[in-house]
Amino acid sequence: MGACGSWTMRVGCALLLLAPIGAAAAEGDQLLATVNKPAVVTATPAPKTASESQPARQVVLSVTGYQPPQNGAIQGIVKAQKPDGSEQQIGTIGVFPDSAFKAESSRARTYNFPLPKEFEGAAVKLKVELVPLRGQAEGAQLEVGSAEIR
Amino acid sequence: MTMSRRDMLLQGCVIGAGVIAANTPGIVALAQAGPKLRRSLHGMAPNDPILQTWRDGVRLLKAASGNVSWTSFANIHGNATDFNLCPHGNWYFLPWHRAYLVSYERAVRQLTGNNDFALPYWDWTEDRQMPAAFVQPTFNGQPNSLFESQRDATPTDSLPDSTVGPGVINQILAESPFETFGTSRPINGAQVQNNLDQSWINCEFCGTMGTLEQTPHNLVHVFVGGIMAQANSALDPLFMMHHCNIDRIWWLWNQGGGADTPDPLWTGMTFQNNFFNPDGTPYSPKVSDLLVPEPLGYTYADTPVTPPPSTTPPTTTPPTTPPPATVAQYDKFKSLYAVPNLATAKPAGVATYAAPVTGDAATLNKYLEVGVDVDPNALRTVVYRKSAPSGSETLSLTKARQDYISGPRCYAFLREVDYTQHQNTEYRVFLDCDYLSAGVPTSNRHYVGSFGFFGGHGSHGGKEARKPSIAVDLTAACQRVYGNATTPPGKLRVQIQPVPLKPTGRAGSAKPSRVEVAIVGA
Repeated sequence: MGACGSWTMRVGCALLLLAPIGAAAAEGDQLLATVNKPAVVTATPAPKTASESQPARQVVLSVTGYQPPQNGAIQGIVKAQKPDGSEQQIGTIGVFPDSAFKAESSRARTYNFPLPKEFEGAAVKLKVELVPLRGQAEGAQLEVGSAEIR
Repeated sequence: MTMSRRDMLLQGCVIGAGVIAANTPGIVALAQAGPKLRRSLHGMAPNDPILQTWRDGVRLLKAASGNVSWTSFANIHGNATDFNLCPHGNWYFLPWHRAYLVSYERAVRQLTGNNDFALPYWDWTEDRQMPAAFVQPTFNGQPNSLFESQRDATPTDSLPDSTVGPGVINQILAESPFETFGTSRPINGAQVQNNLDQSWINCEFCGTMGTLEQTPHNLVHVFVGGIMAQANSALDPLFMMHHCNIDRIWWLWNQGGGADTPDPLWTGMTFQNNFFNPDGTPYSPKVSDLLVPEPLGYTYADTPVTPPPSTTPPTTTPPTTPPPATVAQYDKFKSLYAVPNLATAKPAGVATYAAPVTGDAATLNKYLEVGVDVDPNALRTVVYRKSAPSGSETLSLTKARQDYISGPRCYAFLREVDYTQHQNTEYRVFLDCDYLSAGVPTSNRHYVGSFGFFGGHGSHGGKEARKPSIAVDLTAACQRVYGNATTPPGKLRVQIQPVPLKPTGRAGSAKPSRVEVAIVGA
């Protein structure tokens, strides 16, 4: 719960300081995305059960905090990084309602994306860029909780 | 569960359950429903009767009080600070919003007296800016009820490809299974949904969103901004047009072979007292009531084979007339359904085969298999035909219809099905599956589709009871199962496997009198 008394808060409430949750971060991860600086998170394969013989094909990304922009609108572009350093966009996310929130891990917003075949089998570095959808979208922040390959 | 809905719609029928020539009450109701066409706002003239009716309906709802009013309906969705009854981020997202739209549609018909009204949709894949009819403060010198001052987007702001472009739509239409496409079931803490308690409906963001919800749904809300970006977004008349397009994409996904989950924790959920009928009484549909648009009174199937005569001059672009070759192909399809026995009728342009059913009825523990001898050369044309396009091209149903119907196709007809204990049973159809059992999932490549029965099996209206017949489209399954073989087989093994809808219940049995196969040439 935040200062405004509800887990979903209006834009215009006091700005949240989104402190990244460190438990899920791998080395080199940067879990807080702003317009000028993307979040980087390592998506690791989930443990398989004995009955699961198919290769993992989905990335599940959890977002544990969000601060909407002071003006305009924002979208999150998610890219997977290849071993050669190049990137491939795998999806786009939006936060609706466009209101600030800070959730515990169990109520994070989770998004899923298909994982291209060339990324199967190993951990994948994901980059989450905040890109203006409308206007300048200044002041937006998005906190990544974790990423998993299923 | 339904199969071949796309086929039914392409033939202009309103049968949504794959059941033909039956005496079940549901068929009578469906035939009399006369669903109304939901049309795109693209190119719609400002004085189009649909837009004018929506304008009037919104105005009347805004002026009303009580259960059937603009504020009351919007409060169902949410208020300024939080969602109310509407689910987001769990698997009830699509069916709940479908029912929500239907409640508006019915209310507007009642208030305006226009029973031909159907909500138009904002196809933002094509129209990247807000529709013109919604951004003008006045219309014909009067305040425009479709205008909302609390929007942040300007009339010239455009949605980008990353939100609604072909790549996004391609991804959505290719997603499978349903819990990936339509958002997954809720998990509250460590507890996965395990019952039909109403609280699961409003377990917000307790599931994992798929591309449809997380990308165009969320981002169009955010793009418009203002009220549309908040939980009380249904106060903006553009909300319904946006959600109609989301609903239409769900329908398109079904038409392309996407199968809704049969899980009874989804299908069996009732949205108890969530909505209102036009008379203000509660409207409480179950998810299983919401899987096919036509019984709800609307359709997205646009081009009829024979356009109805019009007595008034059109105010918008008339529907496209199919080319003669397509009409000829329609006639071949119509002939399949117009005869009780393909083997004796032998419609022109259709290769027909049949086999009597001599084995025991299909049961949970033992599926029924019927081998039908076919000409492998005729089957080859189906197996190796070019696949129908997917992605943004298919958002034009006219083109999709013509592409779909112009190629060879293969159907099986399960004639005069004798069934028992159908109330808890899904009858699954497979093709050539050597390891078939009740545990084989519908994601298996041998899976064709499912059917069920509703209503009684007894006499209707004093007439002798008739056993229903089922039509299933084998085309996609033939391509998956035989596509890698150099020569298709000379026998199609059509299989029926009953499974219980509720895991703790019993499944019934089914046995057709015969199975007919029709290969419709290009």
